[in-house]
Amino acid sequence: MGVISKLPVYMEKVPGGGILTTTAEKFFNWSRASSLWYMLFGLACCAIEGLMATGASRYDFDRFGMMFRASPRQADLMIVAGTLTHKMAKRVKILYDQMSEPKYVIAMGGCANNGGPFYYDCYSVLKGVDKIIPVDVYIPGCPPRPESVLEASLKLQEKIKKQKLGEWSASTE
Amino acid sequence: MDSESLLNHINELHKDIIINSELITDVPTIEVKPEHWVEVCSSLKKDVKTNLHSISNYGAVDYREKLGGFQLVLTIFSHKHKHRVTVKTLVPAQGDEEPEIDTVTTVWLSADWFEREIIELFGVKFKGHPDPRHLMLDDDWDEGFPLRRGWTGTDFIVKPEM
Repeated sequence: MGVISKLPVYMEKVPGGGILTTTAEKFFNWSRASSLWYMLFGLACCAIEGLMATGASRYDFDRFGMMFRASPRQADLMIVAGTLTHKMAKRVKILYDQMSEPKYVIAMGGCANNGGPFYYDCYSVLKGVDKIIPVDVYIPGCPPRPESVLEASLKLQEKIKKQKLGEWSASTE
Repeated sequence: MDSESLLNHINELHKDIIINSELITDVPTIEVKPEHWVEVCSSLKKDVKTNLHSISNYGAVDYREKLGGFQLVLTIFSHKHKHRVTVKTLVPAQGDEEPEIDTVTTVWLSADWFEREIIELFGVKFKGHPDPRHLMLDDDWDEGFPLRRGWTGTDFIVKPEM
């Protein structure tokens, strides 16, 4: 009974049910955090851990309201899972721009955080996805365990629940 | 045919052309001058005894300081006889020069993508290549040839001495 215990500011009982009273801010944040649909989009080996293993039944991403969507138009969350090359960086930027607001980004693994093993002596890899798009949560690891992807999504939900109404639109500037 | 007799056969086939020939880990390896590059390749393919019909590997090495040019290394394989041969040539180049050599796509069509990669990464041009666009790098890449020795670019971090 998560809704009744967390959401309402005031609850009035009427016969056969009840009326919940809450603030719009709390209601929007609660619904945004509880249905983060992530984009089905992987770049390298991290996609196997972060999207496939975590999304499958053993780790069960669905229980946090995380569902993959095959289109950026329907997605709220982009998990940048893997090595981002300069050539791919432009495409990732386009995909990010196509996502509708509010949108969030998780940088997964060493390569997406800062280039990882490709930091030195590499001509083709972008040194961190935060050079092109704003990142909300970083996950270390090479590759991270599925549990840390779940932890990151919980951290992101905490962050979303704290945001103020209209705050997210400032991130696009 | 074992590797040694194969090497002898190739040596007889191109008596005056081959500069250097040896067995490297049981693979017959020959070196030719760049002007004989296509000629040797096509005869290795057409000769009944060698019959080298497919490319295993095709790359380049930057030997500008050591030997004065880019070495092309081509390893070819025969599915019929189950043997492989390596052919090398040195394309002379100094400094920022972009040297030119004849393409072997006229012999094996599958050399297309290998040569495209050598074009973008080493800056060796192939005369008569059917489609000399970039293969791996972005289309608007303009920072030179990243696999050349001493190359640096924006966002390129050289590993410090440990």
